[in-house]
Amino acid sequence: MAYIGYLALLLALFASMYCTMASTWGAYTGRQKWVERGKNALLVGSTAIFLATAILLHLLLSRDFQVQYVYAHTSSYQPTWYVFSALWAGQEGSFLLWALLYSAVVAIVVRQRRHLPNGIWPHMLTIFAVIHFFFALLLVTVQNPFLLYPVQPIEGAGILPALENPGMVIHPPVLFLGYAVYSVPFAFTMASLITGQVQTTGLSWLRRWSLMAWLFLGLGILIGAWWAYVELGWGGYWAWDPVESASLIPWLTGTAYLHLLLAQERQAIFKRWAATLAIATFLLCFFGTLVTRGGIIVSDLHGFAQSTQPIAYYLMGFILVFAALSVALLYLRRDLLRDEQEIEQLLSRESSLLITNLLFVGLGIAVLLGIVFPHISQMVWGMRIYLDSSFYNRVFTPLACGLIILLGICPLLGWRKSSPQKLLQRLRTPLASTFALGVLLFALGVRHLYALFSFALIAFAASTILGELAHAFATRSRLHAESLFTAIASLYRSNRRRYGARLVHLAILLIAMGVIGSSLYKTETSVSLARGETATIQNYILRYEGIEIIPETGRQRHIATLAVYRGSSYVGVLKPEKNWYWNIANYLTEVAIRTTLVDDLYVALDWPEENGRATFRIYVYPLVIWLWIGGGLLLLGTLIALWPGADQTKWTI
Amino acid sequence: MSIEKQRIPESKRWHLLTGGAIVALVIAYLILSSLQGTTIYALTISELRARGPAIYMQPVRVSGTVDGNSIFWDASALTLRFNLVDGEEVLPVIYRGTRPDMFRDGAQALIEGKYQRSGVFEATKLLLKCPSKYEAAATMTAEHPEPASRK
Repeated sequence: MAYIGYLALLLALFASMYCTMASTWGAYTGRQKWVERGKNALLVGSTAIFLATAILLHLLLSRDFQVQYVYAHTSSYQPTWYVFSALWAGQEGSFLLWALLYSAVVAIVVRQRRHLPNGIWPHMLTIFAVIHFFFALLLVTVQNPFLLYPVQPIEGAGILPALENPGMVIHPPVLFLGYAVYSVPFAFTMASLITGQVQTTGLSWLRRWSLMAWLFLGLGILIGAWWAYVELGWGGYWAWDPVESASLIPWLTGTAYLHLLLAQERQAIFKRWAATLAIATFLLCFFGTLVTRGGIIVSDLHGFAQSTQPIAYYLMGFILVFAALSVALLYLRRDLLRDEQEIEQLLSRESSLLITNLLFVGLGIAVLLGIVFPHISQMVWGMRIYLDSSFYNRVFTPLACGLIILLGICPLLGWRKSSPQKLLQRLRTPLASTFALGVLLFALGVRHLYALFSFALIAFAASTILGELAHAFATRSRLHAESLFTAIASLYRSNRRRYGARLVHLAILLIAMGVIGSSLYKTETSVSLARGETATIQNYILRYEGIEIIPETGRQRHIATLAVYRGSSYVGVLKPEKNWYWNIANYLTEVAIRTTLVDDLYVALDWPEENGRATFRIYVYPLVIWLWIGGGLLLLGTLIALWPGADQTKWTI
Repeated sequence: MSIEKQRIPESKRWHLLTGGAIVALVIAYLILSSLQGTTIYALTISELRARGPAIYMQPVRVSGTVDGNSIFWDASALTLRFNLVDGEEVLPVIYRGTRPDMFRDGAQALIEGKYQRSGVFEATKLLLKCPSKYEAAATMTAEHPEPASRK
């Protein structure tokens, strides 16, 4: 069976190789027949990847331990649900998954090729085929998931217990989907550069794909953070580990790119920037994988690779070749990319978009610098120097504040030009409410300067967005003599994209609120308790009631029970666990969290009872839940903007 | 899309370019200035010894293997003592905090903290890497709270 899987991968390799040649030939000679042949070959290649994935899944489900990948990631007592996720628990499998998602994206684009501007499709096909070829090449050489042992082991090693979590089941596919979809803006941009026709049509098609990629990448990152929070037990959701940060870079550049696309739909500006960002974002997705899997960059949190892996050279080669090609193309086509309109005024939506862009790209560069700094220092000073997380905090705090201010001001600015008087007039109410909130927070006892400042900024941005919406609804209701409710409904129908975008902005503000609250006001304590003793943190009181030891297949659970009081009222029990896993001969922590809208009480059992005392680590994290609520709203807002039909409506501000 | 093409005076373009350049410079300055004081040297045990007194007060990062026979874990005091081994070199470490999940003989550990005059390394951060068998899995970390984030 494994041989058939490998043959399918070989078929994918040859099909994509054939497609590359056929579509290039077709594109240059203008023979449609060859483009068609290339397209069919690529679809065959995509089907072959699908087949290979199905075979690997079958091998996993039938626990064929002779296959090295199956041996390393499953065991006979593993729940079926986690056998599915074993498909991407390992490196080879996750590349196969990425290739699969990529193939699916390509297949959808093939169906939509008629919507594309003339002449672009053959070149896009070539780019898609080259990427497909690269995936197939990795899978048949250094990332072969079908390697066999000479004999059949009787039992598998099993998945790492920390990966047995719903978050970890969906985190990689969502993230990889984001990576896969970013190939569409990339291929489109490269093809327009090659053909030399910089497109003005097809932009809304491109925007939809970019928005989708952005959504999946963002959700993937957020789900990863949630998994780290509930499962890893070190008491946080983000640690600026290179592996996490590496996936944030394409998200940052992707966000910048998305905003440029909006500007481009209105006016032919920022073309050079947009082309560069589309290419950079896609290549940065591969850079992220290089960081995770290449073993070049030492990661703290994730134990992926220990030393430079062969795959690192493949990935570096891929990135360098495409980067060189794009730089050359951008240079050759520099005249085509000249903006047709110029920005006329400093005080306009265009210029605020430009600043937004600079801020996002600046953040991306900072993260990139943080990741590669040890290597730069090694080259320059012959010594590895790392940057600790305070570097990121120092850069992100002011830049993120700048972004929040812009997020608030931008809806108030007109395209092309705005008058300062008008802006000031429109800013009056938001500024007043911001000040009022600041005073209120101060009166409530918030004394942290950063917190006051950043919450005030968030309030400012939120009030301009909401104020502008209220204004639009009220005006409509007055002009059309409709009830407020009908006005809202008809405005929403007439411009879904805009309201989707506003919702996404509000979601980002909620996420920012969660991040600020949980990072500035986190409290933690470590205590060692005997039965009946209590620990106090903030206004929570926890009493240790006892511990239960439950032997199960594969592990032995130690479940502690803590009674939780808020002030003097009983609110429930928390049961943190520390479980011994025989397959790894080690303990794994299972935290217990009590979530409310105001704060999370997070308890980890650090050590099961020893000499009558158990050790706990207790945290109170304010506002964490708003990160996840914001994530949900982000999804909702993006879906509203993406939903078919949203495009046909006018894009008016 | 049908806004007529028009040139604008050079002076106005100038404004915008300068504006953009100023923002870019501010960002660049911010990034570079943030490097100050956030750097941590990565040293091997022998380099650490060779640098003698100069390194005592500086935060450094050292990696090595945990010697299983030297582990002493006091759960009630939350103190972990062990020897970090790198080739022939042995570094005694004291870490106040949680004993991470995967902490055992042969584990690849990365410690951050300060080397003391007494020859003991006081770690404020202890990170572990999984053996390569669990390549795809995240390891557990335990981080000692930084004084700044403590209330």
